[in-house]
Amino acid sequence: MLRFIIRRVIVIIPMLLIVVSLTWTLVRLAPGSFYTGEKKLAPAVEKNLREKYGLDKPWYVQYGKVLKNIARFDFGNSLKYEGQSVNQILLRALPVSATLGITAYLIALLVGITMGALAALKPNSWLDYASMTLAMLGISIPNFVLGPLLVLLFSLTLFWFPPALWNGFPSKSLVLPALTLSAIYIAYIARLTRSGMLEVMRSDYIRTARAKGLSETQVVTRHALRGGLLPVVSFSGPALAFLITGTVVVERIFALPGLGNYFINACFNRDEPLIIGIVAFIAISVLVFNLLVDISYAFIDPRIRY
Amino acid sequence: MHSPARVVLPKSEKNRKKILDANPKLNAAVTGKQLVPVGAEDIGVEAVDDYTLRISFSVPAPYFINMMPHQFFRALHQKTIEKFGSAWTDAGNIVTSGAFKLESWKHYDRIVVARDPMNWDARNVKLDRVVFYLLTENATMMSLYKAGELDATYNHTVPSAWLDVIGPLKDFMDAPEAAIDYYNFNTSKGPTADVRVRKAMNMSLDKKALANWRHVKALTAMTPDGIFPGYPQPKGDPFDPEKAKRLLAEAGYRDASGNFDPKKFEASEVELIVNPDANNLPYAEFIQAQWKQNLGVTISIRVMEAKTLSKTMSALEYKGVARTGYAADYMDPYTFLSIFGSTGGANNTGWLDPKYVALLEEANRAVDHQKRYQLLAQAEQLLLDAQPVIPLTVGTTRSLKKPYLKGFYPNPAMLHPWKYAFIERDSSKWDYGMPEMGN
Amino acid sequence: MEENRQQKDQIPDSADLHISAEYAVAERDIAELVTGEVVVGSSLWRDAWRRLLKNKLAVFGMIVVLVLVVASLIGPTIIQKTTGYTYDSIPKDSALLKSFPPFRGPDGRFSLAHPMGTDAAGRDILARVLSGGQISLMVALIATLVSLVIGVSYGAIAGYLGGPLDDLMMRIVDVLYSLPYVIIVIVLLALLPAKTPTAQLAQLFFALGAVSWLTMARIVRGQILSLKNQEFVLAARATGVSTPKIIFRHLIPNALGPVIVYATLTIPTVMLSEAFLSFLGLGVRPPRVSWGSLAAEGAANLAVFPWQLIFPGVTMALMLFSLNFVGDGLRDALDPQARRN
Repeated sequence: MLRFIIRRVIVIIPMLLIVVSLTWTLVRLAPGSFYTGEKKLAPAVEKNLREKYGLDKPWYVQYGKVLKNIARFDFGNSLKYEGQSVNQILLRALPVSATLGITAYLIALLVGITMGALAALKPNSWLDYASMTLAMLGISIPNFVLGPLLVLLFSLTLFWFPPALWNGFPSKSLVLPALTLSAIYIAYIARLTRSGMLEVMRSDYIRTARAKGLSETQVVTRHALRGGLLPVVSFSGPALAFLITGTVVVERIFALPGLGNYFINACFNRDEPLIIGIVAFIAISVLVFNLLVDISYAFIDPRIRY
Repeated sequence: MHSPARVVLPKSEKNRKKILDANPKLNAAVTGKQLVPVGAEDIGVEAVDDYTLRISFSVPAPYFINMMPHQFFRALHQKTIEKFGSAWTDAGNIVTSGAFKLESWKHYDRIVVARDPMNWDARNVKLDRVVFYLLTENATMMSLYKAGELDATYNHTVPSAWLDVIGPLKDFMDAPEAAIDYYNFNTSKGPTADVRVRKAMNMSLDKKALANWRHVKALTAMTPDGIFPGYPQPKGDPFDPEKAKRLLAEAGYRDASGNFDPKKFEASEVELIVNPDANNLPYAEFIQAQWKQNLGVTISIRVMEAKTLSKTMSALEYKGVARTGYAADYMDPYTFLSIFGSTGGANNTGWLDPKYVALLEEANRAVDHQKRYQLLAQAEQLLLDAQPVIPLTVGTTRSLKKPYLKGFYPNPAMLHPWKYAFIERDSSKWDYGMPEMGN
Repeated sequence: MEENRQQKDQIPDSADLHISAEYAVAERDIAELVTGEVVVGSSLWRDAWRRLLKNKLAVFGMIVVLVLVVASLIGPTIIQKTTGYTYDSIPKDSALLKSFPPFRGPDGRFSLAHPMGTDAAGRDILARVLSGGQISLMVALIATLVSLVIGVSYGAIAGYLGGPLDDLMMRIVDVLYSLPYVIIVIVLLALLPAKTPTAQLAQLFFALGAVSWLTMARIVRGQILSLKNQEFVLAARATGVSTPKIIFRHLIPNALGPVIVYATLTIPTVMLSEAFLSFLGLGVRPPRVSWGSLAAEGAANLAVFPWQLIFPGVTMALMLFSLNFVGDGLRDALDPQARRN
C-alpha cells in the first residue's frame, strides 16, 4: 500500500509536466495573442511587445522558462493584470471556488447518500419513487436553467437571498450558488448510491452476513452502505477536483470571483502564465483527488488489492 | 506631465493611432524601422511651470482639445510609476487626482472608490463611496437591480430585446452615443473585391427596419448622425433591393436574359463572421434574413471567439463580411474617418485610397473649422462610394437608475462625473423618469 | 493472468473442437454455479426487452422519448407547411419583430399562431424548439455512443489488466481531464476551419465525444476492480477463457448497471457542453439552434421573457427525465441477477 502511494505521488511529477507542456503548446496554437485586439498594432510596436515578454526568443528558451517557473512553483506575472503574480491571483480566487465547491459537495453527499440509501432499502416503495424522481429532476434541469429559476423564486419573488455577488463565508450570498451547484451532484450521488447498494444487497456476502445473524442495521451500515458507496467514491474524485477548482457557469451566473471565472477569461485573453498556473493547479488537484479515491477503494472494499 | 510621455514609451500600453497622428515626431518614430525611446521633449510636450503644460503641433489638429478627456491624457504621478513598476495601478499604490480614490479592486467582483478628502473640491463631493460591480451577465445585473442591491446600472446594460418591457419604466434612461456598429468587407479577395457586390449587399439591407427593431438610429454614413453639430455629413446609398439586384447582374451573376440569378452568386465564397458577444448574433441573424429575403442569397454565419475573430480580420483571412464597431475616442468626425487613413489599426478591409488619405491630411491642416468639416465630408463621401464597409447602426447608451439617485445622466461619450451624483433622502424630490439634465 | 496464458497454450491441437465445446459448457456452468451469472447471450436481450415492457415508468419514458423524437423529426416540416414558420424565419413586418407571449397575437389578443410565443426577432419558438431537438438528439446520441464504446472498453481493459498498463491508462485519462477544454476547442476551431455547416457539426461531435468518455472509463474501471477478484471471474480464468472474452462477456455485463445509469447521466452533460460550445462558436451555426443554445438564450432573458426559457427548458428536461426512466428500466431489465426472479 505504501509503495503504491509513493509510486503514485512520484508519477504526479511527469504527469504535471505533460499537462503543462500540452497546455503550453495549445496556447501557442490558439490564434491571437494577449495583445491582439480589433486594432492591428504597428509592426514595430508588436515587435517591442514581443521583446518585452520574451516572445521573440526561440521556443525552447520560452519553454525552459515555463518549466523553471513550475519547478519553483512561481508562474510569473499575469499578462492581463500587469503587476499581479499568478500566485496572488490563485490565492485570491481559490478560496472563493473552494468554499463554494465544498459547501455544494457536502450538501450533495448528505442529501444524495440519504436519498439513495433510503431508496435502496425499500426498492419500489413510494420513498424510492419520490427520491428517484427528485434525483431525476436534478439531472434533467441544467444548471444554467436552474440558477436563474432559483434566483427568480428566492431573490426576486421571496427576497430571501441575494441574486448574486460574493460576500464571503458564511453568508446568505452563498446559498443560491451552492444549491444550484449541488443539485446535479445530489442526483448523481443518490442514483449511484441506490444502484451500488442494490447490487451489493443482492450479493452473497450480504446473504452471509444476514445468515451470521447480524441485525439489518448492521448489515446496512457495515456492509451494504460500504460496498454500495464504491461508485460514489469513484465519482467523487474528479467531481471534487472540479468543484474546488471552479465552475464556470455558476460563477458566471452568480458573478463570483472564483477560479472558473478567471480561467475562462484567461483563455479568452490568451493570458499564458495565468492559464498555465491554473491548469497546473487543476492538474495537481485532479491527480491528488484521484489518488485519494484509489486509496479509499482499498478501505471501502477489502476485495481490492494493489 | 508624465502621461503623454508614458504613452509613447515602448514599454507602455498599446499605442493608438490617433495619438500617433497627434504627435508627428512620435508617428515618424513608430513608422520607422525601429522604435526608439522618446522623451517628452521629442514630441513637443513641455512643462512650462508647475501648473502649465504646453503641447506643440506640427499641424493645426483642431480636434486635439476634444481628445483631452481620453484616459491617455490623465495626470499621473511619475514617482509612483517609477517606484512600483507595473503594479502602480494596485489599490495601495496608485496616486490619483480625482474626486475619488481607489479603495480596492477585485477582478470579476468589484471596484470600490472612496471620496478623497485631499481633493480640491472634496467638500462638494456628496457620495462617500461608489462600488462598481464587475458583472459579465446582463441577466445577473438585472436581478441585482430588481432585488434592490444596485442603485444604478452603467452604460450598455439593457439589451435591446428587453426594451419593449424595460423601455417604458421610469428607471430607464437612454441617449445616443458616439459609437457605431458596422461590417467590414474583405476587399482583397472573393466576390466582395468587386465594388458592385459590396454596394449591392449594402443596398439590400433595410437598415431602418434593423434600427427600429434594435431601438437605435440607423447609421447612414461612416459618422453617426447628429453627434457633431455643423458637420455636413454625406449619406450613403439608401435601401434599394431592385438596384442591388441590377448591380449584381452587372457584376456577372445573371441568367440568360440578363437578370440577377441568386443561384449564380457564389454564396459559399461569402461568410459573415461575428463574435458571440453582446448583440452581435441577433444583428447577424437579422441581416442574414434580410439578404435571404431581398436577394434570395443565403450567406452563412460563422461565430468566432473574439481573439480568433480579430486575428482572422486583421490578416484579411475572412471570406466576405466581418462584424466590427467603433467608439469615438474624442468628439470629432475624424475619430471615425481616421480608421481608413491607413491599412493599420482598425482598418481590416484591405481598402486604402491615396485620395482619401490626402483629403484627411488636407482637412487636418485646415485652420478654418467649416472648411475642415467640408474636406472631411468629401473624404467620407469617397469612402461611402467605395463601400469597404456596411454602416449599420448608431450606438446607444442605456442604463437604469433608482429614483433616489440624482446627478447621474447618460451622455454620448459615456463619461460620468461621479462627484455630482448623490442620493436624495427626501422622497418628494425623487426623479420619476429621465432627470432634467444639468440640475 | 500468467497462469491463464499457459493453460491456453496447452490446448492440444488434435482435440480442438471437442475441448472448445467443453469450454463453452464449463464456462456457463461454473459461472452459474458460483454466482448465478449467465453469460450475455441473445436470449438475454429478448428477456430484457420483455422485462422492460413490464416496467410502467420505462414504457412511459419510451413513449415520451418517441413522441419527442418524432416531433423533432417531422414537426418542423409540418409547421412550415401549415404556417410558413421555420426556425430562422424573421418576419418582414417590423411590427412583428418582437417577443410575443404564448398564444398572443400582435394586438395582444388570443391567437393560435405562436403557441410557445416568439423570440426577440419574432421567430416562432415552437418551430425553433422542434428543430433544435434534431440537433440536440443527434448530439446526445453520438456523444453517448462514443462514451459507451470508448469509455467502457477503456475502463474495463485498464481495470482488468491492472498493473503498469492500468496505471498508464488511468494517468492518460487524468491528463485529458486536466487539459483546458476551452483552449482545446479554440485550437480545434482554428486548426480545422469547417467549410460547411455539416463539417462544423462533425467537429462538434468530435469535440463532445473527445471528453464524454472520461468519467465513464473511471466508473467502469472502479466496477471492474471490485468484480475481477470475484469467484466467477477467477473460475473463468482458471478454465482458460481468453482475456477479451472475460472482459467483454463476463465483466462488462456485470458492470452494466452503473454503466447504464451513467450513460443516462452523460446525456444532459453533453447537451450542456453543446450549449457551451455553441457560445464559443464551435457549436451549431446560427441561425440553427439546439435545445441547449435556446435554453441558454432564454435563461439570459428570464427576468423579462420567461417563456423563452420555459419552453425549451421544459422540453429538454422532459426529454432527459424520460430518458432517465428508460435508463433505469434498462438497467433493471439487464441486471443478470434479477433474471432469476
